[in-house]
Amino acid sequence: MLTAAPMGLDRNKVREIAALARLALSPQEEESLTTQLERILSYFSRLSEVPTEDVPPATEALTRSFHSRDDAVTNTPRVEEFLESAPQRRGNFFVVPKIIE
Amino acid sequence: MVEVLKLSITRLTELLRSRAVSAREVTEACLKRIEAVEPQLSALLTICPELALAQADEADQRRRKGEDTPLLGVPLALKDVIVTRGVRTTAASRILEHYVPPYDATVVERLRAAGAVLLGKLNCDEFAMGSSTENSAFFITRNPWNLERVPGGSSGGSAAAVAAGECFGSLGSDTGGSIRQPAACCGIVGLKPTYGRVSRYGLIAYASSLDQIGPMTRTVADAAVLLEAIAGWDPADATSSPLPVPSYSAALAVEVKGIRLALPKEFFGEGLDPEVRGAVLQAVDLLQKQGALVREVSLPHTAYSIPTYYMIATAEASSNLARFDGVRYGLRVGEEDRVQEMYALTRAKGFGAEVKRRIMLGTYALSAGYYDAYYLKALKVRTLIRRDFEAAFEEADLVVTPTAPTTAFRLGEKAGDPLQMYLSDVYTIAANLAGLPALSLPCGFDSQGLPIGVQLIGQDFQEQRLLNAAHALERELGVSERWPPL
Amino acid sequence: MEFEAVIGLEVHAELLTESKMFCGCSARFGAPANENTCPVCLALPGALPVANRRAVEFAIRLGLATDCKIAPSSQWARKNYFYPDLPKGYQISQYELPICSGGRITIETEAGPRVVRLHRIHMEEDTGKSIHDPQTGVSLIDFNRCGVPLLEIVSEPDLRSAQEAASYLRKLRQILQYLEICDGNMEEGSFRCDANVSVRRSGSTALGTKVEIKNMNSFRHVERALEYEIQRQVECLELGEPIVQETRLWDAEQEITRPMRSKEYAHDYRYFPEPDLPPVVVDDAWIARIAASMPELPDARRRRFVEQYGLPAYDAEVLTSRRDLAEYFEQVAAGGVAPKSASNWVMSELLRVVRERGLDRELRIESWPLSPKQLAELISLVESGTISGKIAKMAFEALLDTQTSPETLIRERGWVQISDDAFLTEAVDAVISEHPDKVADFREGKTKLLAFFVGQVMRRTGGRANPQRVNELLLERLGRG
Repeated sequence: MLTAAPMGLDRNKVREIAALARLALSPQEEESLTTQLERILSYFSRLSEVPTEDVPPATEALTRSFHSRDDAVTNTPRVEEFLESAPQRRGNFFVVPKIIE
Repeated sequence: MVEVLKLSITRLTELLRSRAVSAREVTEACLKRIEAVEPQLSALLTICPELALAQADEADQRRRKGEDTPLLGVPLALKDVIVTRGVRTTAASRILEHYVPPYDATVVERLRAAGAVLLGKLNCDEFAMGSSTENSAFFITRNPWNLERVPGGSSGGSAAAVAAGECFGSLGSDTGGSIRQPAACCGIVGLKPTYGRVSRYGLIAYASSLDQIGPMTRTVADAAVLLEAIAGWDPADATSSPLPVPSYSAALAVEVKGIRLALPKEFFGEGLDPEVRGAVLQAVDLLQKQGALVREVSLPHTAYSIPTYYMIATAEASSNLARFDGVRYGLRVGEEDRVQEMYALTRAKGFGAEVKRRIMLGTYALSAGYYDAYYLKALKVRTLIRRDFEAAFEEADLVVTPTAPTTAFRLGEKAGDPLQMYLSDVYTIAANLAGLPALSLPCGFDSQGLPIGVQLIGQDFQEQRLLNAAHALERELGVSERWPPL
Repeated sequence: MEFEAVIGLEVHAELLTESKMFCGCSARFGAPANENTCPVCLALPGALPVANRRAVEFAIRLGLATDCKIAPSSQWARKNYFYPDLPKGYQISQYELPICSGGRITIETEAGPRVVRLHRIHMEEDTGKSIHDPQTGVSLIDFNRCGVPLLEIVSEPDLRSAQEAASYLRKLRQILQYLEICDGNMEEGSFRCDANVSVRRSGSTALGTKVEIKNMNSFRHVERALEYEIQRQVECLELGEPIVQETRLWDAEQEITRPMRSKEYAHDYRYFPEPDLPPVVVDDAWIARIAASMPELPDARRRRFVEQYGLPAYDAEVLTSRRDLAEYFEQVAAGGVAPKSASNWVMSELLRVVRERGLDRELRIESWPLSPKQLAELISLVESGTISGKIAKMAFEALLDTQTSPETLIRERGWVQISDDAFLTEAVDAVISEHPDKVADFREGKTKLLAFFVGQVMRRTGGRANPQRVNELLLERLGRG
């Protein structure tokens, strides 16, 4: 694909991405990120210069063998240790604030 | 500085073996040194004296019983992105400020099995994202050669601590140069192994397809010893290689006659500091005088490696860092809100500016409508970068480049300009993209007395060849003999 | 105006592996909250997944059973979204390169067999469970189910009615159970189904606006929900109202579908290849090994039951509906009894008990309360005339949960059928002398009273008299007058 990378990173897009990434940005952060990301992406858009027709994506290049495990239960319960780090717990459960569907 | 602290791991183990010194003595010496220099250096996020001394005593006891493991009683420290059971592990982030992992990384298990003593956890850029260690959420680390300079990053604490004699060696992690660049900045040896050579299990992930743990030491032989201890197949890491691990230290040789070196012209062009260039070419000359064959090659896609790297690394990071959500561990903000708001508040408060920037960049690169142009495109260019190296290795055994375009820059110099910071990774990221082993070796000093690093890049799983060439060069250069003024 | 429904189903089947998809935690139900967790399935910093080979094998089994193409190399992908029951912030699934694609399942319809095409089958991991606490407003999270292997089976939109959808689901479940890779329990959630439904004018080839239906927790719900939704959409079209592309939830209480409250955060799953896992490489040798170990599948077995045992089609259908039942039947039949008798007993008495006890969820016949050997022996005793059918039913109940042999049981309880003429004649005579009026009536032509006399004799003999012989003796005596 030789077409230029899609541009148009504006403040709304930054808000949209921040919502997707669950980052509550301050207005100042939104503003500076808009400028910075725009600048970075415009530098990065040089990628579109590279002809990559028929070039496979490098997703398998580094690991060649199928490494898998036997179907065996090897873990013993350590729930108490794990719950020690929980910000909030009740009994053996992790607790989170209200989930709204 | 206490003389014992200047010893290499190789020499120290000889003395420990002959019982000329005890593990407790050297550990106490390290702790004393840490106490003395930390106020200026700030390399360590967590110091564990009780644990270290207990481990040292245990090592001495084992030694008395006649046991002898490769690192028995050797005090080391770890970059704080490597999880340690019972020892706080923060990734230099607020979001993990009080996190104590319930398990050990595979490399930690292996170091413990080898008898190493854990002195503490080393400062770094938050989640290993950065090139100066200024992105640590807690404090900056200074360069022991010049306290107004950065130690490099992201494994800046690992490099500074080893250079300053706080520990005998350390582990760093390298996603785009984070072992090699700080090693160059601090005048030590840093090795990024082939992707898959060292288990990533227990390494807090930044970019999974690029991350590797590797040794940071004062000598090449020490790097060989540490690599040997941590390398090898791990059933818990599906991307670790099943290839057997050679005995790097035993096979270490200085034979460089006939070795074919390739100098990629794209790595010696614009932007390279003349003093760095001079030192690197001088190192190449030395190798040539010992019989190495030198030729110029081209790695034509080098110009695209920065965007390729940052698209892939940030995309993976945006996903890898999704687990920091305030549910199971770490910081939680917004207890009273609904859960999705709690996430956004926790992450906003818990992550620093650079981490947020990369999460945003990566989320954008993967989002609907942009995936093909950014992420998928970068994956394809990654293939081309790998092919560039494959072509170069048809007529060469090692690729030789500078590690970084300049020596250590001033604190704050690039902190306000993320793109400038990204561009300083230009020479190191190619090896990560191609999955190749690469090593940075000190090869001289600039006029301000700051160390310069030369980078050797090898073929897949040819760490031995890399170590041998570096070993030869190290002997010729004698740079490792110099100590920082701190 | 005539309308037709276009339905495609997405089924999630939890696999019967010992351990989870990517870690060595137990995949079993019923442990105390968060007992089956580890750094990997809790997504602790630094933990990495490693794929369970048997789960991959199970996917290949299903692929082979449904004529899918098995990909020589398939890829894991991350599906990114934030939810408290999803610890990593992404689900490891398959996206662009699933392990199986392009298969088929044949279902029986009123109009004969019909082929439903499969779009794909892919592997993924299940999420944890959240329990809402209405008192405090918070939610409690249990990660025991998190990471349990799932297969997602996606059909093409080839189904045309709620009934077809239900029979597709039954057939798919039957295959999964035959392959012993999923227990197929919809109520417990080990077999879950979402549907994509649209309607269009009959004869049209265009697809209507698609509505996704979720929250159907039983076969009955699926049928009711789809019937309702099809009707709803048809009414919309008839009234000229637009159909909104949306996700609707089945409300089993009110028996309606209603729109899911829209999520305020837009979904963009940002799928990308999972860098922590190498591709799943499946070579021909592995496929051949799995193919060689495949059990006989339901269709083949049903045909064989008709041919080999001479069973009516209905019996063959019922008996092969479940692998365990078919297995059981064959073991009974192997005991040398008439296949039809074996079929009758299995389909009536045995299936009743199994259902009463809720054992129809248990795929292992070893845990059923009567062994096939016991049942075969029991039937033999009837066939040889040693006991009557009625006694056999009593014996059946008495044998449940015992290891006792039927023969021993009936001897111990003195239930052996009595054919001894002297004994029977005595009983017959006693009955006749007790009921002179009825005898007179009989002799005047009320021959239906014979059953009454037989009943009386059976009662006197505790049900043990040979009814055949009693009949004969009664006729002899009554006739003689």
